[in-house]
Amino acid sequence: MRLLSEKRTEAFKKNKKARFSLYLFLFVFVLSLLAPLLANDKPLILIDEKRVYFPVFEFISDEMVGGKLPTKADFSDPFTQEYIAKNNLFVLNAPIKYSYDTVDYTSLEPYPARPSKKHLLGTDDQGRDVLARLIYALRVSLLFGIALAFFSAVLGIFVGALQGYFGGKVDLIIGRVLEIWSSLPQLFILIIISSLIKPSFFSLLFILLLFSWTQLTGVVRAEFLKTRGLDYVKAAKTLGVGDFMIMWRHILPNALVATITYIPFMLSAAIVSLSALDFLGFGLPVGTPGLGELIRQGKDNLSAPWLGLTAFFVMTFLLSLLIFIGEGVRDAFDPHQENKNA
Amino acid sequence: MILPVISKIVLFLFLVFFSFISWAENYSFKSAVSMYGEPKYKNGFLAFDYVNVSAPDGGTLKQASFGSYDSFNPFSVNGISPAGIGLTHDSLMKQSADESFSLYGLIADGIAILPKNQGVAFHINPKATFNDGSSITADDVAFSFEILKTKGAPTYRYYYRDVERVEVKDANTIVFYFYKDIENRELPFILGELPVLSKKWWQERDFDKTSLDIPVSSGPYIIETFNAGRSITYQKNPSYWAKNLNVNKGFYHFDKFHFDYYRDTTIALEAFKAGEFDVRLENEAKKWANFQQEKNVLNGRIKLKSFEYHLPSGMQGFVFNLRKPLFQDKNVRKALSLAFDFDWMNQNLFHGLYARTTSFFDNSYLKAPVLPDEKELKLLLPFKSQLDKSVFEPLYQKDGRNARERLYQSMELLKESGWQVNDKGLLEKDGELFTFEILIDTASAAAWERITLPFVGKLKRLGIQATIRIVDLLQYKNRLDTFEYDMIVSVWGQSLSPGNEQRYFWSSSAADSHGSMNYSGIKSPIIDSLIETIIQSGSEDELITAVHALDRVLLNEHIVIPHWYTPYHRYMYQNTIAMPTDVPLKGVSILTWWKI
Repeated sequence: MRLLSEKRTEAFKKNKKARFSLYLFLFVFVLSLLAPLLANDKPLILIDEKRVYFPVFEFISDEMVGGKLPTKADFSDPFTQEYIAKNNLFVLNAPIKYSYDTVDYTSLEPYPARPSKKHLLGTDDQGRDVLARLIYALRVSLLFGIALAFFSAVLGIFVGALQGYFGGKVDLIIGRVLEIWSSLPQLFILIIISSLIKPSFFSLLFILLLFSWTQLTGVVRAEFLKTRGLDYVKAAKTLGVGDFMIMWRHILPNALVATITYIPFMLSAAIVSLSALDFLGFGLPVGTPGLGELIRQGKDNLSAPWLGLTAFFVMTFLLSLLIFIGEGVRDAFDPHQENKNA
Repeated sequence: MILPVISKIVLFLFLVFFSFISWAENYSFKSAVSMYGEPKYKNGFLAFDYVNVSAPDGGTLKQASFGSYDSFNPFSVNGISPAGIGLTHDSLMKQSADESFSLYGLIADGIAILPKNQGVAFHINPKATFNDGSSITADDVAFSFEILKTKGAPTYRYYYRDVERVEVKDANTIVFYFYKDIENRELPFILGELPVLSKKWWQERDFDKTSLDIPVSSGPYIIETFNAGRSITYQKNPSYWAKNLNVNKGFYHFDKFHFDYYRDTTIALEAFKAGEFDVRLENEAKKWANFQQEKNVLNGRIKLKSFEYHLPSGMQGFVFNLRKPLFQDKNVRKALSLAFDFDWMNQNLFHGLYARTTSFFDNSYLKAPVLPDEKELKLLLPFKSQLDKSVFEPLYQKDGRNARERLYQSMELLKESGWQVNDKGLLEKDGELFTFEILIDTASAAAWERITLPFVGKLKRLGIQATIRIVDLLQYKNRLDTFEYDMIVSVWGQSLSPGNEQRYFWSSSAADSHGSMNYSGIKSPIIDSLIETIIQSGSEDELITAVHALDRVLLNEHIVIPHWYTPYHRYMYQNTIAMPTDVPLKGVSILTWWKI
């Protein structure tokens, strides 16, 4: 007999759409993690007569590249570029010569500048390369989404487990608190809180976590409620195994199965809520690249359709991938489906 | 028989004597006054020069407004009043737009400034009525003054604080007495602009409470219908008594004014393109430039017009909060100012449509000249020992340096002040990094973000870590009122007759008073004294000299990194709207436009 998990992996693999989406998603994710190497105004390698430098990773002062400022060099400055060209320094640039905050000082066209060879997706209304910002925005969004989904799952499973395993009054009280909690107008509270707390990656993570962890509790509770009455659990109890050990070792593995199907959907919800806050201007600190920020730029600059369209297509692409993956996982874990496949 | 005759004579003499006394108490009312010299329009003039009296009446002018409203009382601090509410209120007198500060009779048909500026008397036009038909009396004026001073917005308190008492002489005469030794030449004029409220209507109501009861009012328009927070329509007051008054001739051609409320400026612009409303003022260069190629502009359905004006630009810029230790060093302020790269911004962000602000009174004759003249020196020299030598150096000198060279200079200045660059390339002094926060409100975030971020980028080159913080309007206002910020973007508007409000902007007392507009927190006895010189100046020449001196000293303090201004009002309007060809000194007014 094959292991259940093997069967499920097989089922998922058979689902072409889901499998393809997963590969694509992983590809995009890895690519976005390499953002500093893909899109950067600093050269990857700089060689002068003395030694080899890696400006992405080390401190290069303006003085070292011909200027007089003891502070960090700005390789997008035409002055610095001229110095490098004049002194014949060897430079290996990133494929995209702009970072998320690099302003193109050399443009002759007022911003937002339309797509061109220099800027494949154009610039936004502050003269920053849209493609570069997009890559960094994906990185932020995905990391944020994964972190949020992970912590929500941990917290949700923990509370759901307590509810389901102990039942009775514990279940009743937590259940009512949850009902009240989830009926609060989330978005408004999020806006209020994020106007009080100085926004940063982690403070926003915390704020969004406040509300997103409740998604899983119901499922986990049901699973625990069901399993705690099974014979092997009762047997463990009689043998004197502690409550939390039973929960951890004997019931959780069963409950986890149900939760995994939720993860891709939680991930997409997390990305959407971060973008929503970004769009409203309550998201990550000003200047941070974000999908929501790009949508807002699109809204503010209707005469520059490349901003809105880029945001729209990327958002659609990313969310579709996650939904397809989610569907695949759900089907793979569906017992009815299993029977059919078997 | 003799006795009655004698008694008649006595009585007659008695009457003559007393009538003489009361005659002596009469004031020599004039129908117009000018702050400087003689009013341009003489007694019995027919209409102001910049209006078109023969333009047709009728039609509705639709406009857009933003946010929401919840009160019909624009004078209280509480609540937000709807756009155009000013149409429902008249003031005692009316300013002309083609002189620096002249007032002409409206509700008051006469004004008399008492000798030695002890006070000012107004004579109320006996024909003046509110829209419910009741006449406007001196009592109403006294009531309006008191309630604005006690319960109105704080600016009224600032404006009226030199008035000692008010006396109602008879139904149509009212006198405001000023405190002794107050040489506030502007005060009679400020009082002339007092809006007149109905005592009968307001005394039964709580002035502080926001309410959507339509008040009895004195203006040319009345509220016809409204949809709270969404739209409002004003229609001509059918019983408006001053319809044919010379100061109103050529104004108020539209039968109705309608305002729709929008939440978002971008949406409003789209609505305007679709013809949802008739006219809009465009402040953003980006939108103005992009709009030239719009289909409806090219086919002539929408017209674009820039109206030049010559009012002081005022000062918009990044304001340093001098209450913070970081910005108490003038060198640091200067260094940061040098880092701001206006030329690049103007070319790349503003389509070259702006001019750099170089003075607190730019675009007008109040701007300080390059070098102080003799009269100005007389004001400045007494403080010579306390003033920086650079005050006496020429202003507005183009140094021909590019942005990079200016950064070098900034770095020099910062080093002079003891700041050093550490091994991570960050600016540091006594172990403290150079970091600060620029506070912006959500409503203006979209517009400010794109100009603030490049500035932050320049500061980064100096090793300064500036962050932008966006907060909602309410919190923004609170933090402004209590001066809890490092740097904000702010605007100080200026008129051609600067006066009392300068105290509110720059005085030491305002620096300590919560809610004042001394955002920078500048405290200088020299500035205080120059402000008083401005307020007390007896002639236009004296005023101009004093303003020049104040401008020069303020500029030398570097309390603000000046932004830019535009010497134009840029209007977009549907081609069904027309306007007079002459644009007065103070700029165009929609109230003189009409529908074709």
